[in-house]
Amino acid sequence: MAKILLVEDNELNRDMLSRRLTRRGYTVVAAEDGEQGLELARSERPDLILMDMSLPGIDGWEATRRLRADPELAGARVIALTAHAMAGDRERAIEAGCDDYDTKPVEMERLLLKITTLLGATP
Amino acid sequence: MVKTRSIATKVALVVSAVVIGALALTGWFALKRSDAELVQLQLHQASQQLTTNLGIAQRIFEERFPGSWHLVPAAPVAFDAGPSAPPESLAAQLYKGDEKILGNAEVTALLVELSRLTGTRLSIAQRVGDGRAVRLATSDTATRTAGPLTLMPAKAASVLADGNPAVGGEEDWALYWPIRSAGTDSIVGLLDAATPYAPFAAAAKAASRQVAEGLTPIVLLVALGASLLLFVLTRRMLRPLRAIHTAVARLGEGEWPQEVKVRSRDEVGALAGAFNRMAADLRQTVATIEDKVKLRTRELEESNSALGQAREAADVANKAKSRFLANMSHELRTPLNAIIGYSEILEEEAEDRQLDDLVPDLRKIHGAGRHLLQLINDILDLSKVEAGRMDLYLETFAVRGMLDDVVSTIQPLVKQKSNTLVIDCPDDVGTIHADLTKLRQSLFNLLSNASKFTEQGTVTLRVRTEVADGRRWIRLAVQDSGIGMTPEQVGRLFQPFTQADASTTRKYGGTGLGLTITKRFAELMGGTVTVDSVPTQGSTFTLVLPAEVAARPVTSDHVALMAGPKGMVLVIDDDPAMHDMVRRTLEKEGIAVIPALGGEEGLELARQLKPSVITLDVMMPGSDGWNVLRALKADPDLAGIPVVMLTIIDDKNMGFSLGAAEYLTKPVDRERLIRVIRRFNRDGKGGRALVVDDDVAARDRMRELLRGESWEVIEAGNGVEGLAALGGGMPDLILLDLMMPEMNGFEFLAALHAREGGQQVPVVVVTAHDLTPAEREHLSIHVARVFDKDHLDSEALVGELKRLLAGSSAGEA
Repeated sequence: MAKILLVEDNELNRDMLSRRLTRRGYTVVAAEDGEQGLELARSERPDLILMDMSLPGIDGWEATRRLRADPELAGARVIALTAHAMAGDRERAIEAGCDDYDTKPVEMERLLLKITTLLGATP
Repeated sequence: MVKTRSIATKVALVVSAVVIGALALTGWFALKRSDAELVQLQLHQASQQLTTNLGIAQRIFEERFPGSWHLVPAAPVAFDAGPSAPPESLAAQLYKGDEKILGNAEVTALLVELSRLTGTRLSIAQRVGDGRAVRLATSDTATRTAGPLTLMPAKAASVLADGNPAVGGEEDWALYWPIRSAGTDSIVGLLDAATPYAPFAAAAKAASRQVAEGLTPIVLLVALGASLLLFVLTRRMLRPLRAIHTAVARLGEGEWPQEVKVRSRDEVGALAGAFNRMAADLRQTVATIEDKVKLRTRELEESNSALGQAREAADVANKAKSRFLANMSHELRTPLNAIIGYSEILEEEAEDRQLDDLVPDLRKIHGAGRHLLQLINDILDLSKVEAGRMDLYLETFAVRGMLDDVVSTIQPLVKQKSNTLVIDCPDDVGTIHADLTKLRQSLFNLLSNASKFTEQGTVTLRVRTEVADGRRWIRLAVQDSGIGMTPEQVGRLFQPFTQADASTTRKYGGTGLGLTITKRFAELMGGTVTVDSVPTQGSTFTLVLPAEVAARPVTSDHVALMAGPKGMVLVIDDDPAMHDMVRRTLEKEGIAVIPALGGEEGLELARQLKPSVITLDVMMPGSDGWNVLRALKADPDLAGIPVVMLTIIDDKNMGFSLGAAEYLTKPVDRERLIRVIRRFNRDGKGGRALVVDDDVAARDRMRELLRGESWEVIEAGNGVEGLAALGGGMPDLILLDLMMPEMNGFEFLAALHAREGGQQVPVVVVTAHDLTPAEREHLSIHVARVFDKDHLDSEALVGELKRLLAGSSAGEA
């Protein structure tokens, strides 16, 4: 069973996405901000992290950089989620160390495709 | 300028000419008259003289030849009177007593003797018939020699006829006296006395000439006097006219003349009065007009300032509107995403739990949510375009790849209404340099419109390249076989919130913003959208874009919109995310953020907009940050703008990015140093300046100069002393020599920046040699602050920008 860490500050989005992922059979842990996200990444060792980029405190870019700097967490895949489909966001996300990128609002099918592609299998 | 001839001179000249003429004429007449009178007088005297002489001659005749005069008939005698004279004959011989007068030598001798005694020519004549007389004896020897007998003139004849004595003669002045016979009292002859006439006239003329000669100087003097008098008088009379003339001339030159003071009551006085009244009226009128102009100007200024305020207010309102819309959209999107998301969840759960009757309603909620989201996105896009804040992210990409992307997205929509999508695109269509997202969205809008208004028809996407105006263009035409539009409906297209008609919206959905946005996007990229439609036949929408979209020029309208109330930051960075980050943070504070994607664009914008602060990325394609910095500092208009460098700094080099504010070469140009110092002297009150230099003379000069600008000066001979001097508190400005014993300028700077507050002190490097580019880079000359991009502390960056902005606005104030 693949474990997904969802780092998202908006409560509704967090609830929604975690419920829908759970329904699809994933184990979901959720964090409210970058700091908590890093903590949970270390303690929960998720297979994949869905990282909202605009977060209070340590933002998604910074959190990803720190994740990547930690050799123990190197195995986790990261998908960046940004609110605005801005040109360059994808590149920035990849630069910061993300494996893929998707825009919010989440289109479930598209996101699931990206998740399964990264994890190499359905949950 | 033409010399004006005085009227006075003219009058004087005319008057003297008239006076001289009149006097000469009257003089001439007077002389003539006096001539005649003189002659008359002389003739009168001559006549008396002649009468006396004749009397004497008669008495002598009486004594010598007693008896009376008488005629005795005589034999005819032929006179030898010359060839011209007609032959005459004497009818009788004149006798005095017994003595025959003719040829009597004694008579002739007597006449000669008498003539000698009296100075008068005397002669005796005899009447010869038909009134004529013949001179028988004469004292005139000349006549005697010509012949003894001479015919007397007509005057003598008239004496013979009427018997009265007569006076006259042209050459001689003669008195003719009748000789009467004693017995019969008949006239038998003539006695005449004559004197030459010419001497009388000559004497009279000479006398007159003498008088005239005596009078001439007097005449001239009188004429001169009269002229002079008149000249002076005319001048006097003309003086008021001249005053009026001067006043008119001054008025003509736009001055207000004094009142013309003319007291005379003549025409000139009236003229002066009229002029004074006219000038006063004019002055009054002009004053009134000036007042009115002033009033109007003030009103205009007031309305201008009101307009300016209104414009400012409108700008602020417009910005507020844009910000509101942006925030609103964001705020709306969050709950909307929840609605969409939860409706999807519910839909899935309903399906799982076999609550199928709930599914259609949940789908409606989901669909409405999506529609609303699209509306919000469109409104946001449109408001961004209209506020001039829509940026272009230009990149080069393959047209074909973009088309495939769009087509795969649109396919479900095409199929929904059983339409067929035909793509007609040549393989060699190539690439386009444009904003990918906006082009994709535009094309999607056109295709989704075509699909929406067509059922069981064909939608064709035709792509062509063409060359016009020397540029390559890409033409994307979307043709459908749908309901089409009337010309009126076409006219309403491209206007926000307007579909062909309201019922269309109900039937076909959509926001009505798609076409408007597509058109605005096309215009942003320098292209166009046109439409060609026939009702019931279908429509063709054509999007034409330049193959090389140019970076959007910043117009003054944009500038006006961009200038925030609290200043403007120009972000020169090839990474749009950086623009976004700075903008998100600063715009909330009323600070405008202008993005520039490259060095050249950045320089251009800096020149146009004169931003308050510039952030500059070091690593950029093309012109790198240091080159841009050099260009900025070489432009006197831009050199004063603080620049914050953003760079990826290796740890080992970190210490060398020292951030000097300015550098000057020795010998220091006094004016330049003063200018630099004044730039850091923001409130004009000076502050504490630290001068670190081992050259005592240079230190003295800088001290004097700083004191002149009201700075308090602390001196240090080298870096070590300089650091020691920092113990008394951070100075407001440091002037730093680089080459010093013990601790040089570079080391001092590094140490300074390690201290708390040390980075904020502006340092002006004063060096004996021109710095090499490497040294300049090393010192980060002109750079207000250097940030490490790799570990960018956005709060610190924004804090620094705000600090610089506050400083620059304080400096301007």
